[in-house]
Amino acid sequence: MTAKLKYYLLLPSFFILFGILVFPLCYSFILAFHTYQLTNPALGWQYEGLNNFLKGVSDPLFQNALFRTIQFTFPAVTLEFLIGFGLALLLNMELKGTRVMQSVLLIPMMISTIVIGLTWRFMLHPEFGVINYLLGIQYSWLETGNRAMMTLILTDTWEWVPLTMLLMLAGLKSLPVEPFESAKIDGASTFQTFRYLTLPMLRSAIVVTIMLRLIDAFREYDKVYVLTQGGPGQSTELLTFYVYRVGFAYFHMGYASALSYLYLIIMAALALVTISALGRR
Amino acid sequence: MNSMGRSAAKVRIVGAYLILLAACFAILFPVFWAFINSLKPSLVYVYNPAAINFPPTLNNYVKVFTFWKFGNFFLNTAVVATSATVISLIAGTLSAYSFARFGTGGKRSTLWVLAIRMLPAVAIILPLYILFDMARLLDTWPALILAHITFLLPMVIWMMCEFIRDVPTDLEEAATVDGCSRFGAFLRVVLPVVSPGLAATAIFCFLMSFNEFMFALILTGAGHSRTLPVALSAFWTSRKVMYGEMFAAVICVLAPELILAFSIQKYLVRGLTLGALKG
Repeated sequence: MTAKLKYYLLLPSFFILFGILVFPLCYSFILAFHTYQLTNPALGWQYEGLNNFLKGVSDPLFQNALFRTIQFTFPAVTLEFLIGFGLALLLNMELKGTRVMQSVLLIPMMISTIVIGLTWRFMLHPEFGVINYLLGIQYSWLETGNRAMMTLILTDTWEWVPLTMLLMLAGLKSLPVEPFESAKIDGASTFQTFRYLTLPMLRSAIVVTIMLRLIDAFREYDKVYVLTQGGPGQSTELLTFYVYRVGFAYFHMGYASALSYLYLIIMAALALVTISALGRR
Repeated sequence: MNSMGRSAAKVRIVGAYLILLAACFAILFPVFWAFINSLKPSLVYVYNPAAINFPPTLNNYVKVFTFWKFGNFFLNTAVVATSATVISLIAGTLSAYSFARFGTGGKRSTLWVLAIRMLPAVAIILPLYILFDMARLLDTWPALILAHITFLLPMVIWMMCEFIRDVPTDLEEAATVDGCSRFGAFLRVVLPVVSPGLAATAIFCFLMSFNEFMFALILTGAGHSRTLPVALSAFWTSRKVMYGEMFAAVICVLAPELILAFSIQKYLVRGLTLGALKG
């Protein structure tokens, strides 16, 4: 009984995940080899072989979306990591009253991205926005491609610094005390302690934090939807948003499936590269 | 020398406070601003975007529930989030127990659970949409509940593994010696001990489902079963935007989120970080 119990316990999850994850993914994998126009179901599935994938690889809009996603992800994650790590170091000083501040600093990661997007979009409004008003400028934050991308990056940073801060703080708290005491006795400077003790010992926390953020930033959709709708032009159209548009604005389901599998491959590659790059000693 | 060192330490402490306070201000200001604007009569913007001395009105809130019918969306969101959370919690905790105690599937099995997190959401929703369309489930609660379980269930397994690993095995062993079956020991001994973790996981899942936007947008769109984030996103259209009403709606969504978030903060830190850092 006990020998089999461990498998019985997995059964509910197994069936659920099979039904709503494995089966649908297999379905869309097969669909990726076909043309299927959802708005015209009478045509049915037409076998295309690898055509959808080949078209995807050479699709300038897909390449553009990939490029924009990289352009969004790397600055955003870098900013989030640096600010989050900095705040974690400050909170780790355990000064009086900083516990309350820690609670406040966690707010953005718990609230709806749509709330964040709408609030920032309003605060950055060229005419009614409080930020332009207080700065005394007439700046259109979402007008050109570069500005819109910058605004997207800043909003993402606001939303996700709390997570990097939380993860890095947990990493700092899990460090053993003794090495730091002996470093103090040996007269090491703050910088030396940080560079030769804290950083190397935090390696796994840093890897995990950056990985989690890279993966999620690479899938960003909500803020694009609510802040820019991918515009102006296609200048903030990130990968998820483009695949979404192919699937749910044009209803080219076969092609969208092929694109989502290409996307999957890119994500897997990204994860492997980051793990090996950051994990190397 | 000594006094210089002391004053340098003082400067550092003051600097730390200043930076942290600035960060708190950067976080709180948008929340405060959303609240202020939810009380603003609609013409105030035009004269002065930064005005805070205006006669406050609750009209916007009334409109959110009468004209925009947010009561329905609250119901939709609550039903979907609760159902998806309960189903994920039951199935996920059982699996987590198997992974945590019997090491089922080897050391790397929980990494596979994490791998599901890497799937682009759009890759999942595409086939789900077609399948739900065929089953005539679009714009219904069950469709969105099932879609949300795709990311909640792995999350539950991941978090509950951590909480269960923290329970000493002696407890269950003692129970089995006393004639409890292993499953009985799980129900009567392990579950009560991990109940705070279970509650935290439940609230965390509830929040994730509550906040989820893309699946909800695609599956419920402009329909009857749309959830709060989807209803919110519809406020900002290319036509006239009713800012006051929009922010009243924003605050209605924000308030329950903040209450839930603060209630689990202590466990959130553990559930999220320990798993991630040991990973």
